[in-house]
Amino acid sequence: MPDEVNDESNVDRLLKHLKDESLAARLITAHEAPDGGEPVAAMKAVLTERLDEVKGKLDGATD
Amino acid sequence: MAPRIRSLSVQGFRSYGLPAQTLNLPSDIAVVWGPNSKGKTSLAEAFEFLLTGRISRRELMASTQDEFADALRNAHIAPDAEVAVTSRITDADGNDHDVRRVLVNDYGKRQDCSSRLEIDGAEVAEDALEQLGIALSQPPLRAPVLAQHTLSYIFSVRPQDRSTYFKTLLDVLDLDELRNDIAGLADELKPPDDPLLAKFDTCIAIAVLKDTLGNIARTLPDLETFTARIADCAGALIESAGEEPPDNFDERLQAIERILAERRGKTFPVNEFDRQQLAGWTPPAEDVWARLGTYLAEREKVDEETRQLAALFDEALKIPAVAEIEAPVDCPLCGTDLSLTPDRVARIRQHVEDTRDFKTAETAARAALSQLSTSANSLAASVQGALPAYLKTTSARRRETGFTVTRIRELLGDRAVEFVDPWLSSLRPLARAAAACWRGAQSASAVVDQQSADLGTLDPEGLKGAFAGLAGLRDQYAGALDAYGEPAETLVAALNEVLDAQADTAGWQDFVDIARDIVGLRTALIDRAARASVAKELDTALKEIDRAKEKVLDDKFADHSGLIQKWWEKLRPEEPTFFSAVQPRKGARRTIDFKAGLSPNPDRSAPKVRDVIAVFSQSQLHCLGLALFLARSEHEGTGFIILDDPVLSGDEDYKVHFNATVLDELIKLPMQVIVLTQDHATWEDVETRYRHLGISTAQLFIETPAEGSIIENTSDTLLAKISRAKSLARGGHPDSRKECGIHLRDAGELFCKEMLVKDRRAKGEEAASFSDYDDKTLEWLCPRVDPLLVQDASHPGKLGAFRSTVNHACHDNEPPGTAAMVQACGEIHFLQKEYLPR
Repeated sequence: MPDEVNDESNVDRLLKHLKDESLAARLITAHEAPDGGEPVAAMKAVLTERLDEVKGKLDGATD
Repeated sequence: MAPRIRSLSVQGFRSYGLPAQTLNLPSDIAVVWGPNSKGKTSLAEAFEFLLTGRISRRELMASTQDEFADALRNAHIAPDAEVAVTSRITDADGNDHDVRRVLVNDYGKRQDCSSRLEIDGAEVAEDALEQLGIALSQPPLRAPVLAQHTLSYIFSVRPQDRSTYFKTLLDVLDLDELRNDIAGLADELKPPDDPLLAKFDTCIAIAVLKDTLGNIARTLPDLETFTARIADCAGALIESAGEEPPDNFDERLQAIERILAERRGKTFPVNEFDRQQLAGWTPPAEDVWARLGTYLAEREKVDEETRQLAALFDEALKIPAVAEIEAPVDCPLCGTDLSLTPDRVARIRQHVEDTRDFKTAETAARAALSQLSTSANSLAASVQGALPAYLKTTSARRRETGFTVTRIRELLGDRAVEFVDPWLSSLRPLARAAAACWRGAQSASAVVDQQSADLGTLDPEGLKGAFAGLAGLRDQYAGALDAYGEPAETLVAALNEVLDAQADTAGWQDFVDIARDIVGLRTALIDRAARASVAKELDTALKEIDRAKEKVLDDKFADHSGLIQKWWEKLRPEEPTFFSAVQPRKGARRTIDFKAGLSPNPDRSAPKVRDVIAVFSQSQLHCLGLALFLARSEHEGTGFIILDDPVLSGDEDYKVHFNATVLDELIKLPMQVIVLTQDHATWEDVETRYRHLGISTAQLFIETPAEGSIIENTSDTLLAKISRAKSLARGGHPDSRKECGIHLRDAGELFCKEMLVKDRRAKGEEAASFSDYDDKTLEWLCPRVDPLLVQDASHPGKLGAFRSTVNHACHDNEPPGTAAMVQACGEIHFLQKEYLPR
């Protein structure tokens, strides 16, 4: 039974249920702290980074 | 700090008439007693109207909305009298504001009411209350006012509709929007519209290529292996055509193209569409025209006879006998004896010298004309070259080879209209432009040749105009070719598709195309595979977010269940039947269930869980409704609550817990609590329990219906103040005696003011008022009252002793002892009875 109201934001609560390094957590973190930019653009940057990483693996794994 | 309501004035609203009645709320707890039908619920609704501009009772009783017509305006006041509720509110920053709600239009039949909200005298928008720190909840119960009809609301609505009450709890709209944003990222991962990949997918359907191409798409080998596998595929295609594949990769591709052309040609002469790129053509440079102009200028300088003899003279001077002449000799031209003298040869040399520039200009002019001729001819040739083959042959020849529009339509079948008509539309302008340009070039070439043959007819300006015209014709032709290109290529592709299908070579052309860009193909396949992989990760991420979102809701419900349980336990501690949880129904998140635990044991062990609606008594449901309201208020950070008869009469245990524990807990949150009750015992009990906090008390009564409900702020009367001070005086704790001192100071000040006003009025000063002495302290008041204490010489001394004790109690760290405080209470009470008897 809580002694006081839990004032955590929904997003903070959500992040608690996601693994730190998961793509979901990385996208949400970027969305919440877009580093001065637009949240969706910040998430796209995370996705592009991941895409480049996978491309590099597919290319490098066979070269 | 949360906002606080410091007073509420009600004028012409519901049971309240004119003038305005004011409830003073200086303390964080207030209790108001009113028997039935004396204005208690109207007072609660006045709070609601002030904050929301309406009363929820009408909205909750949908079937009787018509009956609320003209319900807000007191029935007995004049039609033009203003109906308003005014409040002094201390905002979150500690600043006081006058908040006023004026009724503009009352409820009508099927018509909502309207009102005007003012803060500090200025009309404001509804959301201006937020700036004072007042956060309203969701409709229909927006204001923090609990009344009998709102208490039962949550149980009377369907489980599906209970979500409204818990909207802030259920509200994960921000997470929904976040999820949508993330789901929208899938568009970023769609493979680009790459023709290489489309052709690859066509090739993978070719039986002899399926395994190899499928394998490289899955394994994405290094470039060398990738190329080798494509070469294997080329070999497989050639073998499937019954030929031995060459060793060389390029030769294999050429062989495939040859086989394709042969097979297509057997069905239709598709190669008739072949054409070359239009060769580049630049109009003649300016120096061409300059040379022709120079020639004309030089020609002007030399007479006709000299021009005609110049060549003869030139040739004559090449004869050694003429060139080396020292004495007269016979003329080699006419044979006249000794007629050619050194003087005459010198004259011939002079003539030759005079025509040298002319001859140079003539040579340059001929070269320029030759350039013009070449330019015109090359343009004519390029016009022909860029035409498709079928346009360079006769219609008879086309029919002979089978190249007819009818045949093309047959081959394409239903798709003919789609491909043939655009092609034909572009073909006619092309043919016209080609003919015009070709004829222009031929004509220009002929004119140049004619002028070259007879320089006397040379017309540089005419030629310049002709070639400028050629440039325009060529531009038109190039435009027509551009317009023709796409429809023709689309038609050829469609035809090849049909021809390849008939020749069992479907997809071969696509294979040749992808095989000629192996690096591009491999890059595109890696890109597609990476996108598919990350898209899968994104899908997984969305599923994780969905699961996490459900857990967030579960967490929030668990937290909220905890809050409700907290208030339930304070109301009904240790009962074997208890509130267990509020939870969303599985599979229907917007459907809310309340669960009760039924334990056969005093320690609540082994409880059976049931729906509260089915098992709770009316009293228990009443308690749960109150617990829900208090939990919601606490959760939403409401600064104040108004409770209209929160305790069922006759539910004695519950009443004790509410008065003693719940109110105490609410004040500690801290939350301002205003309790309205019809139970006089509750009023007295609450007043006694929270006297040490300076509780505000009031009573409601009605003397005449026309006058309406009257509010008497009983805690402001002299006797009430003395009574409170007395009850605190005997408290052992120094804080109690200090609080007693504060009440005694208020009582003393009020006694003095009443004495002074009474005296002035006795002397005929009818306008004398308490407000004349606002801000006056005992130090100022007592010396002025002493002369009025005439019944006994000891009385001024009693007042002086009283003042001294009160000063010590209010200002010293250690207040006077119990005996001194009791004595002070007795002295002021004595003086009140002697001089101001009630």
